[in-house]
Amino acid sequence: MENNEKAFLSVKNLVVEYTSSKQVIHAVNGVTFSLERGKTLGLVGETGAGKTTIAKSILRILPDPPAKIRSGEIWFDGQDLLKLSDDEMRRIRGARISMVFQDPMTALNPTMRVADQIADGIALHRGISKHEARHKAVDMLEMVEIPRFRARDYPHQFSGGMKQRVVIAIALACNPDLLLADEPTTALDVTIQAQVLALINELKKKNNTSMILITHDLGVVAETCDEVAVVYAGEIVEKGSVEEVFDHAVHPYTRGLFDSLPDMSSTGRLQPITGMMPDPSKLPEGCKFHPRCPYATESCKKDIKKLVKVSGTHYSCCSATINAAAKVREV
Amino acid sequence: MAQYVLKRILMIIPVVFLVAITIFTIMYFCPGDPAEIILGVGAAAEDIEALREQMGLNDPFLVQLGNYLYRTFIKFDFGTSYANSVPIIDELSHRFSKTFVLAISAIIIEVIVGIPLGMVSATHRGGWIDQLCMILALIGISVPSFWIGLQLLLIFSLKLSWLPPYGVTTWQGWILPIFVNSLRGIAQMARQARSSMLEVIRSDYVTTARAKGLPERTILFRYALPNALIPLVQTAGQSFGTSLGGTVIIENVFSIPGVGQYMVNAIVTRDYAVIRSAVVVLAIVFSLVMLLVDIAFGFIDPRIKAQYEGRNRKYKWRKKLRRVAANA
Repeated sequence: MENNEKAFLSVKNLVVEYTSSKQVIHAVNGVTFSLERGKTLGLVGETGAGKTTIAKSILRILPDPPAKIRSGEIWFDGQDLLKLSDDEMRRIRGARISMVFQDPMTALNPTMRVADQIADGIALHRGISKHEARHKAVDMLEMVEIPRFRARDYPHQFSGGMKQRVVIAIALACNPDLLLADEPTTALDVTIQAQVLALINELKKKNNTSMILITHDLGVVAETCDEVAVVYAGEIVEKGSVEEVFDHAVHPYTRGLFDSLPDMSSTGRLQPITGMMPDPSKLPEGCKFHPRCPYATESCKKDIKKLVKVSGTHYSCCSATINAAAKVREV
Repeated sequence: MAQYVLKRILMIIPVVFLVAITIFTIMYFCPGDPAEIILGVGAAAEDIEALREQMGLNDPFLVQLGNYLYRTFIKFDFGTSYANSVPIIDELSHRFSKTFVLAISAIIIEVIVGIPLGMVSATHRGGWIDQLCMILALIGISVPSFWIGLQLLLIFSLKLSWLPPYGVTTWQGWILPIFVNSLRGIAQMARQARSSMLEVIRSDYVTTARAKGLPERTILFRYALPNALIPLVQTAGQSFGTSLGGTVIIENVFSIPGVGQYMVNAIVTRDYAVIRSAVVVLAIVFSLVMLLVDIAFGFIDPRIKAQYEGRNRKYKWRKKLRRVAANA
């Protein structure tokens, strides 16, 4: 317990399921990680790996039903978020933890002026009047480089990049301690992506905000993150500092991800990871990656894999490759 | 916006004109001779012929049509009823006030009761409240209103003697007809509200609002409801328009002299002048209601308003640029 209270954010054995009338979808299966104040953690993985579900669990905004947090603890600054009352959690949302959503096109209320959408959170958490909050909202807009005369505009009058900047302004309006950025650049075109990332980074440094950045773009992770966790089928298969994971990837899935990145210096074909992610309602036994793994052995099909230390802060759940990696290092 | 409204009001004119031409043409080709209807079955042939001549019924179609349009739209003269020679405009305005009271009170009740029911249903989706509301709504839609009307008359007028059994000379007389008339609308509104709320409640911007830590009530009324309102206003407008056309069954069950009754009687007695006039008046009223609905859309959804104002955009931009220049 002491450990939990010391770490700024610590997620332990988080299990989340989606239940429909016919089947149970195992979205998150025992995820454990922690994050220090001011640091950035990258959650990477394929679509459907459970990254967004992890973030929404931290904020407790999963739609219930069908989603249900089955077990686990989420320690944030000394309190278990999953044990808070709805009202206590509401006071944390938007004030101390906030989220930037994936699709800026749909994340804003089309019937409300943008400044008002920023202001209502400020008015609520700061306990100031609507009028003052609106002034602060306009300041926020200027911070994300939207001129103040656009404050009374509606979202449909904004471009995609501007909308995402509004979403970021909403998320940062109350100087949160933790920012959950769910693929903040995926829906934007490449030139705007860089702008938005730079903006998030700058604002994060200014306020010493911790961040969980969800993405499937490894380039973005390398640029912005301190630590990285690779998520596959609702589990973290490898985690560590960006240097550790990027330079000494151990898990076959992580390696596969790197191999499938285009490399300008080589002329060979890309090496994709064969097969598909398993259906989360029918996960394979043992290591969830074994059907696609070129190194899979008989034991991989049965034994449940736990994260094992590779070196320093570097963990992987693939024992076979860890041993091989250790040998390489010894030689 | 003002320009749009003006344009829409002007557009009502050709619509009503076309309706008038259509209804006149249909009536012209219908069997049945107005002169015969006015004079009765036993009238002498020469009397009928004389009246036909006097009414201009022997004129060619186009002349008759022209005369009709001239009388209706230039002189605002709807003529007199064939059956009892009462000026149609007097009878219509008298009856329309009754129908209007019935329609407007029904629509108010539908909105006040139906929308909250649907919202409660949507927010408690799958729970017993939801099930109860939806079962009630299903009953409200499927049970015929004349049956409920008769049952209520039986209970409250006959057995309990609380309310008058017919007529609307006192305010108590209005209670049952308004209640029965709004039942179906409440049910329809509740179902529509539920489905459009469900759609909105799962949308990303509601999640954003929740992530801001806003209380559920704020989320419901400031984020969900305004976005769910468009189909509801549409439903309300349509139901109001239809109600204004007269609710024949309600008017008959409760013996209210409304427009619906008037029209049905006119159809039965082939009182073409009444049918024509009533249809034209209803076309005008319905067009106005639909205009109100469209204006309401503009106030609910800024995107629709922007469409309405599309033509003025140039001017607006100029204004905006001027403001920027002033700021700089």
